[in-house]
Amino acid sequence: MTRSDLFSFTPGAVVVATGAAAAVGATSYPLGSLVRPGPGFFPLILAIALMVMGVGVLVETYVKTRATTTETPATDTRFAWGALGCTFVSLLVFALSVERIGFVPATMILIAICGLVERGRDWQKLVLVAICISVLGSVVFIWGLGLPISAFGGS
Amino acid sequence: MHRRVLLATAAAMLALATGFSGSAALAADTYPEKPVTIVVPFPPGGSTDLLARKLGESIGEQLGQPVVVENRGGAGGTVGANYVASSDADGYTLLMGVTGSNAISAALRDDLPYNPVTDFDPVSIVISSPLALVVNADSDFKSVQDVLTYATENPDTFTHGTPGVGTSMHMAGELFGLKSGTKLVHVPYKGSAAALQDLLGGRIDAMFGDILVTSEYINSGRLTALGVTGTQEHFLLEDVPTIAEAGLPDYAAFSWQGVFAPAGTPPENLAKLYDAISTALGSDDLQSLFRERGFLVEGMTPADSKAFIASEVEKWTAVVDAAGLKK
Amino acid sequence: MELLEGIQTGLLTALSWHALLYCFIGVSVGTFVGVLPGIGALAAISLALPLTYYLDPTDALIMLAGIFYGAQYGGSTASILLNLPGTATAAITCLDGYPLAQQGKAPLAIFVTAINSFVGSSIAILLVMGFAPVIAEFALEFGAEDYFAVILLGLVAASTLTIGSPFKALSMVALGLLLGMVGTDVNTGQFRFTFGFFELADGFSIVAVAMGLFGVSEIIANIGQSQSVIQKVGHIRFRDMLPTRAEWRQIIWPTLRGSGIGSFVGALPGTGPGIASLMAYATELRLSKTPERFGNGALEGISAPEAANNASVQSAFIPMLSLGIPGDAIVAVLMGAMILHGITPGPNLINQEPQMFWGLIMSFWVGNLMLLILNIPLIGMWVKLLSIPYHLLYPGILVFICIGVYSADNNVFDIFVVLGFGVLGYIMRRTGFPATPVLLGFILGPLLEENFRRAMLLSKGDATVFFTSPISAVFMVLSLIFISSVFVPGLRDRLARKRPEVVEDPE
Repeated sequence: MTRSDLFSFTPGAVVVATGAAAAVGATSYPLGSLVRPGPGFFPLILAIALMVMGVGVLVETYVKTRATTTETPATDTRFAWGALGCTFVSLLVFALSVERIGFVPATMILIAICGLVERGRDWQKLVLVAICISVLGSVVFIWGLGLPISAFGGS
Repeated sequence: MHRRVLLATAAAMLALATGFSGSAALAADTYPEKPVTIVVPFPPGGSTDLLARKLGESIGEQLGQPVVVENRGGAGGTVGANYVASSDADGYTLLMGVTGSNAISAALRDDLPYNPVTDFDPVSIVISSPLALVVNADSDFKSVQDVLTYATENPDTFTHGTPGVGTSMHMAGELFGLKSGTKLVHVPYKGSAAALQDLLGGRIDAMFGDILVTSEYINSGRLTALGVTGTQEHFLLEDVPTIAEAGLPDYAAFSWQGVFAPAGTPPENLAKLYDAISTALGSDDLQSLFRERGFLVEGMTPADSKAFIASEVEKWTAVVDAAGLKK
Repeated sequence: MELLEGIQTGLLTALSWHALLYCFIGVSVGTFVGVLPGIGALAAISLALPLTYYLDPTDALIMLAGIFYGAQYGGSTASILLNLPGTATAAITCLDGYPLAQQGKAPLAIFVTAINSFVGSSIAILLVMGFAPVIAEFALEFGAEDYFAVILLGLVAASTLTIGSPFKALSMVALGLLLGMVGTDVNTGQFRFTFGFFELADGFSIVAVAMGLFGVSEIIANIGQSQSVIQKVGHIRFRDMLPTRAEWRQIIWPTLRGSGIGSFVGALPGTGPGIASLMAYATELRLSKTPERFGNGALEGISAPEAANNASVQSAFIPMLSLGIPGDAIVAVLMGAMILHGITPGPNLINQEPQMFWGLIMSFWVGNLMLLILNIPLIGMWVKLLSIPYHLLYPGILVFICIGVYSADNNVFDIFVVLGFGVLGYIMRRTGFPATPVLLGFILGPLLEENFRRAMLLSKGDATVFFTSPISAVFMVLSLIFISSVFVPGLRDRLARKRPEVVEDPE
């Protein structure tokens, strides 16, 4: 079995592990009985179901690798780490900053971070977008709907 | 330059927050210098929201600064209460607290991140409202005494629906069981509408419900009120006795709403707010709101409110402990 | 005769200039917030509610209701164009709407949803007018065991509409159900899986989950491929939006069936949003002679759920207007609006406030007509949005998603939730796990548990109640038919016929 074959078992394993973790969590709540289920009852059943399904995924993967089908899954499972990182960081920064420095600056930062990872970025147009979004967002959310954040500055 | 001014302001506010008497006296003269925020720990549209807005309007006019209502809902009002508890104690962030957020939750939960008694300085308990013990009009229960007899003979059988664990309706039911030495079956729902639906459909026996909402069904003949949970009869439900009169002496349970500031707020600011609230309570606008919604005016002073909250926490802690509900 | 009188009263109210104005404002705002990703009807109505404190109560209600059903028209637009659903309903529209958009048929898809929405609403309004009290009394007959059976049917439907690896899909149903357990246990008040985060006491926000799993993960997947799929859809002629005669024939029955299912499910308070669309979609999938087209841009796959959704929104007013019992969270806020105007909805509303009752219902007609007229010319504009280069479009979408989920409770925590589910959604689509079952499980899980436990509590632990209650028994049998339809050989073969795994992964 090659390394990429082993890698293809990861999703199923993660599902089983998630189910196991949830099962452990569920047992910390009173289970009750079938007749009078407690708060832990449903979560435990679901966690076990998740584990079983995860095993099913693993078996399925095993059958597929054994059968050596014509499809080559390698191209599909390529992760776009740059896009993932950019989105992660930009949302994180926006969440942390919007109540402290205001909607407009937080928007500018979010758009700037997105611009940083984009190849062939067009800063002029991006600035235009930032201004449009800031104005539209301020009008709709702060002025129109009265959200408790300021356009500029903390709230 | 700008930055320095900001820092100075921040430092001054910090001083206020820690309650230096000198700067507090100074603050009382000028408070409020900017808009005051009342946090409503529920989504807009409920009775707490409406009360906060009407009250805020009047307070704002009297103090010469706008009062802004901010809705921060979640977890039965505790998310909003927690937000205010950890805000600056300068009198600019207030909470419209209720029985659940500022008393029952403390009795119920060990993991509550704030303490309703020590983390807040109450400005005033503004209103209270009793609940009504209602049954389906087709039900065999015609009086509180019927319920008591039935519940005594058939423990763990009489069902009452509530809008959730830890609501004042739930506590009213638990207190009923505790005082009468019976055991009722608590059937929690997500919100009172769902509970009402099962009561109308005859699937649960009773409900301790909001007077305004249930009075619609009582007047249309679909529900019967057996008793009110307050200490006197209620003007929206004439001829309905209190539960205490009807066979369960000493029984009293009601929900209330009040304005709270974070602990450590300068007493002068509290006093100013309290004065504004008591004036507001006399206004025609609020008086007619209270009549419409069945609220009883309380308008307690800050000191009375503080003692009241302590007694409420104590009362519900006893009930929660006796019923074994502690989380 | 009473009905005609009511209609007359209603028309006089709904056609007054101020009612028309507020109705127009309501449906316009509704369309707009429906299109904006992240901010749903609930948030918009909650935020607009304080503004109506000073309006005439009937006008206020007409406007707020307009936002509610207007948002349903707009809600499908962002789903079809950008795979950005803010609700479970919209997530179902995404299943076939987004593939249609990628085939360059976005104008057709949006036009069809507008027509379906109108038809669905109209049928439901007729029901409200003629039979509201009767339907409401029938809905009162539904107990916890009956709701459990209805929701179980929904879950069975959700599990059978999955395409691709059944284990991957079913594991995602289970994951969704588990995610639904997060928060306060209704029966005991116990916090479950909150990890000390007080903000999780009410569970994950559904908007944040949907926006993360679909919207944010879609954006991550599209960044860097801006010139390929998305771009070419932007150049479309306007006449492309009209369906051909064959396409009309294709959608007419699904639309009617969807309207029926939606009207029924919507009138049941306590089934929650999304179930109507889900059942309508699953029904079409089961009835179709060519089920393999579903998930690849089948018109029936958007017609039935859209009609069902709009029908359910209108019929959700039935229990509120005739009994004072709101059917879902949004109607509850509308009822709050009535109460704060001094009108407490109850069994006597029709007699006590005929002007409001009939005015509101007639305004539904006015509003839906306005929406149809308003939305068709807008199609061109929305589709033009796609001609904006993606790398300029997505930062704006991210901002709107963030601020939209923030607006629900004014809490930054929900932005972190969106972020988490965005990353999860991206990993899932890269590894071939579908996102729709997660969302459906997430919605159905808590309802299923709540009603099961309540049924057991009220029946004193007698599990046979699920079969002895006639309503419950009917739905249990329907679930069985659904399950067996998957396993009966002929049907299974037809379903098992090669269907590419493309629902969630358009590349």
